[in-house]
Amino acid sequence: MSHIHIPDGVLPIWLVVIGWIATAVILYLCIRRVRNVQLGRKIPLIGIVSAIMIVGMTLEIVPIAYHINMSVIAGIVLGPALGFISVFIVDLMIAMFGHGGFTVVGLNTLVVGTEAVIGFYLFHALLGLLSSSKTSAGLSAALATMLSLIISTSLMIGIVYVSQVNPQKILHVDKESFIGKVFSLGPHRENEKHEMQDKKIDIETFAKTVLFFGVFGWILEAVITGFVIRYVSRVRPDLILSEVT
Amino acid sequence: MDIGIIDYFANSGKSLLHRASPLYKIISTVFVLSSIVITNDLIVLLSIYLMLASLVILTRLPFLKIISIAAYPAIFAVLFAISSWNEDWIIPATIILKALCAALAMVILIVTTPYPSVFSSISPFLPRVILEGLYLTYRSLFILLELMGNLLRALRIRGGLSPKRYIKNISNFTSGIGLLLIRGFDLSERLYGVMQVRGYSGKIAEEEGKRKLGQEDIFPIAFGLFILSVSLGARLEDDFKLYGIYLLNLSIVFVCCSAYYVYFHNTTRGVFWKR
Amino acid sequence: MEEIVRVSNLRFIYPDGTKLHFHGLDFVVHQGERVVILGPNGSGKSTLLFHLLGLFMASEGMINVFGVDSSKDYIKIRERIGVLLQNVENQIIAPTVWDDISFSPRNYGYKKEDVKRLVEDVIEKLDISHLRDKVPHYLSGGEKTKVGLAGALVTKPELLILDEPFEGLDPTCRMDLIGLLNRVSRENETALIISTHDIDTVPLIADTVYLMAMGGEIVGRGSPKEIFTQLELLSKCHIAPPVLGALFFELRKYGINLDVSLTVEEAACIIANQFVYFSKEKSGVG
Ligand SMILES: Nc1ncnc2c1ncn2[C@@H]1O[C@H](COP(=O)(O)OP(=O)(O)O)[C@@H](O)[C@H]1O
Ligand SMILES: [Mg+2]
Repeated sequence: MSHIHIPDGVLPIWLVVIGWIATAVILYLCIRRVRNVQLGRKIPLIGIVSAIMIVGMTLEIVPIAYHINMSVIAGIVLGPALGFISVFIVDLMIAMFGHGGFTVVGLNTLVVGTEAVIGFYLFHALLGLLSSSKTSAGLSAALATMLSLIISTSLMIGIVYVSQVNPQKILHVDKESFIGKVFSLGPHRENEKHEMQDKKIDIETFAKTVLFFGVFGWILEAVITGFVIRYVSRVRPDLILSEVT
Repeated sequence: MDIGIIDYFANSGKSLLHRASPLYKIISTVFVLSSIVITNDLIVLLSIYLMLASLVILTRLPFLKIISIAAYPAIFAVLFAISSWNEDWIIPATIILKALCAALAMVILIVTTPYPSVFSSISPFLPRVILEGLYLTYRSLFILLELMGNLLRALRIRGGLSPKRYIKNISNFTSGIGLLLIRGFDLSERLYGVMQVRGYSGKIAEEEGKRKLGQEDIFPIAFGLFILSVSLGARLEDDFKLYGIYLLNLSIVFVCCSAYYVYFHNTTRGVFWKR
Repeated sequence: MEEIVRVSNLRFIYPDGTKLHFHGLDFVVHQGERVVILGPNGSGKSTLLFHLLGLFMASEGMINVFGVDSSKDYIKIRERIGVLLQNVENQIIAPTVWDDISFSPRNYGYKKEDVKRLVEDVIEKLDISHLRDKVPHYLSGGEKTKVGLAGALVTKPELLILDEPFEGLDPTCRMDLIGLLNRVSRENETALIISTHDIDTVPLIADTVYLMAMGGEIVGRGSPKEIFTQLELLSKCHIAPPVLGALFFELRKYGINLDVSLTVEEAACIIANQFVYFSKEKSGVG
């Protein structure tokens, strides 16, 4: 749910630009961080993890308009820096499929990348606390996922809030001056007065929708991540516990 | 997930758009996307959508299939549109139409341009990790889709999927995702190894030399510029909007012309209803 | 013997338009029978087996496994069937050998003790108890095959379906597997359906051989001996007769007419007898 599916051109341009710049800066830092690491073995891992994320993101669970991100898996398996890079790759590629808008790739990478990075650190913190029971890897991963998703979803709602997106406000001029003239649709409305109120209601509805459906999604995603990480930790513990970048 | 079919379209197509150079197609797509970003006018957006549809016809690929691939993102736009619902259909419709237009523009690009060509066209702007990551992600998708088919089959014949036992089925399948990750990683690693054995050195597709602007390249650029100027005009000049209805008619003419050119001009060349 | 499988006149079209039509003879398997489907690569053996497993839905024709249409009611009969796919990797699901072998019984809802007992049994029988905690994907080919087979045999199926099980095994592993399958078939009265393009193993394991031509036509049915003496049929399917079969045919050209035999021991026996006979005749004349 934390993936922003705001179509191109709804968010204000300054926000989109900030999103791209912030993503670019973080990417630069990530790449610098992995510069001295032997990447040969990591590239195929980035490939498959990103591919899994793409499949997850494009399989939409229709009744709740939710899709899983599996970004925490990326964080845990690839580490924060490569995890963030992988999220960027995923966002870029699904934007190429026309999924989710191209201009918001920057913001989406920020939000979903946050999941990967926070997920990684939370996972290791929890793993330390739960130390060495048989299920600890899976459980830590599930908990870490739940927490990171709550954080990233809040971040997403925050972004929508600062964007002050009130489609009414952006679009009403057109409606009155053009569509109103050509088709004379609907009565002429005075929305200027209600503007502030509208905006508030708008973001509230949005947040409620997102949070309500989000709960199901978070649980689902936490369960999936838990199972996957448990599997990986049993078959290839080296992928999870070796030094990461 | 339609990646298999998208890949097939991009590689097998022979239309004007397939022949145009990837870089110009990308530039043109950027123009169109910018137009969509700056346009808030339903009629202009509708015109853009129709013009894009006429491009789809010109690709000589199955029309409905491509439209439906590109309609998918609208599901998410609907969520956003609902949240801004206000006894008024214009705004939600505009939002959804924006999503549809942007998606269609991107989809047209990728069904006419093989992924590796897209990557190599943008390679000067991207660091190597990202570029290689993009390419391996692309290849891994095919690996993954095949593995997923195998997994589902294995689950079925070995009793991992039973009617009405949802929890068990979900837990079996999700453990299976772990398996996909591990096996996919092994295969992806092997692929990367083979690439290196075969002399891979960071370049995946042959880079297009600095070739001259050809006939095919002028078309996408002109198209992109036309749409950009129209939407700029509509945005900047209030009076321009009065002509929106003509614009709409013009785009319908576009659709008809391209349909005539592709489907009736030489009927053996176009395939309309397939898939 | 009771009939457990019958396939008749099945037609199937792959999404890409590849057509298969399993016509000619009906494909029939009886209780405890060891059946081999012999056909060249791409003739449609795997496709036929997938139909038996309820994975494909034929557009035409009749299929009956244990009295039900497997494309509709596979769930009802799945506990009675074990499978070894052409590529074993594709059927291994769980992270350790133990988990994988116990996968089906656990999902069929067997009791914990029963699962444990069944798995111990099969591990014992296949002699793989040293592998139980290993990761199946990092085993050798032969070991993987055994793990896959154990996962198929664990529920003591009445019918075991194996798609090209000998492919990629070295001769020792292959002979091992043949011995094992014969033993399983004898002890539990398990029917076997084995697809292969490798003629040399056929006489060692088959009661009945079905010969499949390209496109899925079933052109022959009979014991290995009956099938391997019909050279025209074999060449129609692009299958070279087994070396021993060819030997006996060549001998006929020299006027030596012997019973065809397809195993080395038998052939040696026949030829030796013939020698003794000749030499007796010679000494009698002399
Ligand atoms: N998934 C598929 N899609 C399209 N054609 C297929 C597919 N699988 C098999 N075929 C085709 O069906 C025919 C029979 O294949 P198969 O049953 O695998 O043969 P065999 O197992 O005897 O080697 C072949 O021509 C093969 O190319
Ligand atoms: Mg086969």
